[in-house]
Amino acid sequence: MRDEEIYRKHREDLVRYAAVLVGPADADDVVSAVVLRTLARRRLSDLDDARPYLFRAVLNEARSRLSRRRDPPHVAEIGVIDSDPRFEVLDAVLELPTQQRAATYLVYWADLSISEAAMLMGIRPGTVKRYLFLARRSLKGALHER
Amino acid sequence: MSVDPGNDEVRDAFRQAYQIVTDQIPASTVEWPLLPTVGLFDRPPEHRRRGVTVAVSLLLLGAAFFGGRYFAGESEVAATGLLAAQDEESAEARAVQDGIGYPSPSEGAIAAALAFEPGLVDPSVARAVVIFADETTVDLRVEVRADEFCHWFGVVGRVEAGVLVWRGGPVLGCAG
Repeated sequence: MRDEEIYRKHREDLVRYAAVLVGPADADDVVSAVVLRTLARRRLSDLDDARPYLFRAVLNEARSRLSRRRDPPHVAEIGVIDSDPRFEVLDAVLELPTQQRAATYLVYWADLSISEAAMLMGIRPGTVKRYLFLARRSLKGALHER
Repeated sequence: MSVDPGNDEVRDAFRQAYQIVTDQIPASTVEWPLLPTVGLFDRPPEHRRRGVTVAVSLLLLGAAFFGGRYFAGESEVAATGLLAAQDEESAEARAVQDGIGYPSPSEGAIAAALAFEPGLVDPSVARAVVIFADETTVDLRVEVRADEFCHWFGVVGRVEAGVLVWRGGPVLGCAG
């Protein structure tokens, strides 16, 4: 499969993943930067499995960018105002550490198994479970307060 | 009266939150995040990034050319100047911003003109990062400091035959 075909195959998933990590406005840029940097070193078709490689690279790029920003993605960037009943939950989710957001997105939204999520994040399944537990605990608090 | 949410409710809350986020992803006009495919994907495997010092010519960008327009997706712009790139390990080019103006995120336009001269270094206002270089082309990302709201606002470009070309490369948007 040619590099462009590989890119097209995974792009949408990668952009969605990036969106929950850095916000929807920057998602495209994160994916572009990752692919550019990858192609500077190798062909996508040279990778044994491009999908986990690219997902891990997106997570790393997102964490790198977020570490340079003063604030994580904010609900205001998503266009949800504070009078919206979804505001508090969305705010709580966006406040989660990047790894927890990544794990909960892959498992709860993308419906991946713990093992599959672990592979895409480049971590052990036990670590994914821990992230999920911590994230659930944080969000329970936000839901409890409503 | 509040109720302790169960795991199903928490899971549904996550799903709803991420649906909201992904619904807000803007439609991208960039199918392939890179430049025209001339050479880039047809490169033989042996064309790898090497430690090279590349001096290329870049045109001075006129602020009037860009003024008031969104850059992403616009027609190609040719620019020449002088860009002295370091090797791939220290891949930041030295650049100086000529004071014409800064990108305005709110207007979505790149108003800055970039002038590059070796020896005149002001990395705090403009920088070019070499992504790939070989004997004939240089792929780079050019970023210009914007305002306090958005610190870097840039585009991806390629230098071919001494001409810097931007062809609908993604505007990088705001970065810290």
